[in-house]
Amino acid sequence: MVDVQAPGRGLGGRLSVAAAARYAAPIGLVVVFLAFFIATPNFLTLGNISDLLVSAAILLVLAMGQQLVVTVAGIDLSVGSNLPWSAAVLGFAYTQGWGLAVSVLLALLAGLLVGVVNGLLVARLNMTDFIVTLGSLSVVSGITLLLTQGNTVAVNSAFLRGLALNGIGPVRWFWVVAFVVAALVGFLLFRTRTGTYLLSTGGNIDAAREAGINVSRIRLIAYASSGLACGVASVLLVARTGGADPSLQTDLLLSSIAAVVLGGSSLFGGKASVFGSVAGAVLLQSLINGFTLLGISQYYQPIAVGAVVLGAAFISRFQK
Amino acid sequence: MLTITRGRPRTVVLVIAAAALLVGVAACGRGEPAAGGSNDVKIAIVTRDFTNPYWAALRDGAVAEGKKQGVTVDVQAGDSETDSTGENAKISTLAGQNYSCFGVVPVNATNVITPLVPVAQKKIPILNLDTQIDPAASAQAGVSYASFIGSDNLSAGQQAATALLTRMGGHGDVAILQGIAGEQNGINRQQGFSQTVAGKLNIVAAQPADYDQAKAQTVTDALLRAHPSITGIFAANDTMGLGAAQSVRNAGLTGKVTIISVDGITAALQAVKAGTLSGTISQYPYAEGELAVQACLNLVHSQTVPERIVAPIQLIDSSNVDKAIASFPQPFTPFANPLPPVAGK
Repeated sequence: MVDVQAPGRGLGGRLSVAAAARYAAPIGLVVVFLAFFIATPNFLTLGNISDLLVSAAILLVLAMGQQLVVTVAGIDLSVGSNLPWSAAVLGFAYTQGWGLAVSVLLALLAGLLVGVVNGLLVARLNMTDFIVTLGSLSVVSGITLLLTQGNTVAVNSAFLRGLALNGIGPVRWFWVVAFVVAALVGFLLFRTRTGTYLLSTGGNIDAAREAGINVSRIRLIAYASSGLACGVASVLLVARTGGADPSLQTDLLLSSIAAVVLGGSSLFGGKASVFGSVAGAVLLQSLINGFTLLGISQYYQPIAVGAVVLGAAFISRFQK
Repeated sequence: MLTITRGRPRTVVLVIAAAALLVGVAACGRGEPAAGGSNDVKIAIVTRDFTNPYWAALRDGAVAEGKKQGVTVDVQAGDSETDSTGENAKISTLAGQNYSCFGVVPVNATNVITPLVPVAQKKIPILNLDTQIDPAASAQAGVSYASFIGSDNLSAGQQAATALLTRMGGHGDVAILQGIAGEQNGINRQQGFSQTVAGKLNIVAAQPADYDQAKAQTVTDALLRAHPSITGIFAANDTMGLGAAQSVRNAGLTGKVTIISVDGITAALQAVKAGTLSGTISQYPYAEGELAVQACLNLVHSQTVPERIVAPIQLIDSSNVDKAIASFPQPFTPFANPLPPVAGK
């Protein structure tokens, strides 16, 4: 930071700081890996990293949905209840004996439905994204409690358990799901016309509208995708926790936003980094994992996570 | 644009340098086993969170017993009472380490089963603590528990009911503050309570306050307004009992409305001493933590432990609160420990 002010080196310093800002999450990830590696021999082992990436998968999928919404300068707070809602639909269908395939399909549709409703309210009725998704966070949570009567629905499926525990050789199924979702989002954003529209809608909605982009359709797509991501994540959630718990998942909601911000995307829209968000999600999970291994008190963990997010926000000041 | 194109390679170099350093250090041969020989017993205990003093007491009991027995005890937790995935991640992280025994308090009936599968496959003993894990789902996943250690929550609800009945003179209107919807311990407490007061007290309302003090205060405010006839409140845990006590005090009804809650956390004992809370059915999470470590040591030394170990509970009211505070976090009356003394130490 001092370099920025140093005479003669000012330009070079600013360059590297701006560049560092772009790669805050990956650099942070390397630093955190290094720190934990030095601190404990148990961190950088095949088994632990394998587990860390599995643990990060749910958050990663949610962050990918959040990424699309943030790209169009929105925010999706309904993730916290859409996730348990989709999981509850899966659990409900499964206990009705409709079979796993149907149940999973219904879970995906349930997630998508919430996303579409959010999208319609935000894009078509021009309601404020923050308020719309805050409202649906609450409404969907209530519907979930009604559907489950407040109880955890056990989903006892050997297939889902296998999904959570097994894989192809060392490659775990959870990674595969997370990777496919990330790849799809990356493809959508940077290789398709829709992606270009998403970025331009987020960058300057008026300009995008004048350029003939159907901005309300584009925003609808973003929210619907985030809903669908919740559906996908809910399948992973049920696989990992063996059932559908109707409780709000606020931790995952906040982490999904933090992961996207860490990744270098702007909350003001128009700028997206799938790679950054992936690194952000893995970074957040690595902190928890490393602290668990080190046995550092629970009370310090939120401070560390918050400090990392604040650090990323600070670095992003230097981003052009 | 120039700045970005010139900046990028520098950063890439930086990242590569850091990565190279990482690999370099890795090559220098870390990964030696943690200090100590192979006989070291390491016990892992995972609970819901430490923001609830109840789980913090369980942790303290386990850690203290570990020190006493000279074994390593690591206690970890998720972020909140409902953080099913967070707790899950902690268990699977610990499952990859060399622990000789696990003690687990689940968030719900199923959330810990999947990450415990690798533990069970390694034939490492697992204790189910405090809240019952779904036995059918566990069996299907191939996970079994050496023992269940917890308080009898049905009995806690019954004792709370008896205490309220005595103080309310055997009749009157009573309200129930429920815990988080679907949480088994809360359901059992309410069931025990409702069964015991049936036909004697009139339950005018049962509202969830999610084990949350502020929420309990708000709910009680509303209940007192809607049902001014209430002379008794049963709160399914102490934090809600404290919220109710605050609300009753604000309404100027202290002494007129009897409040009984369950858990026996320090703040509740202080409130009983101060007279704002009528009584608490004290459970002993600290003792539960100690028992968990003792049971683990027994299992590690291939001794059998009872399938079900019931931790003590006791009504604390103004008559015995001083003794309870003095001996906290231990029970002030001795209880029969069903575990044989730990061998090999």
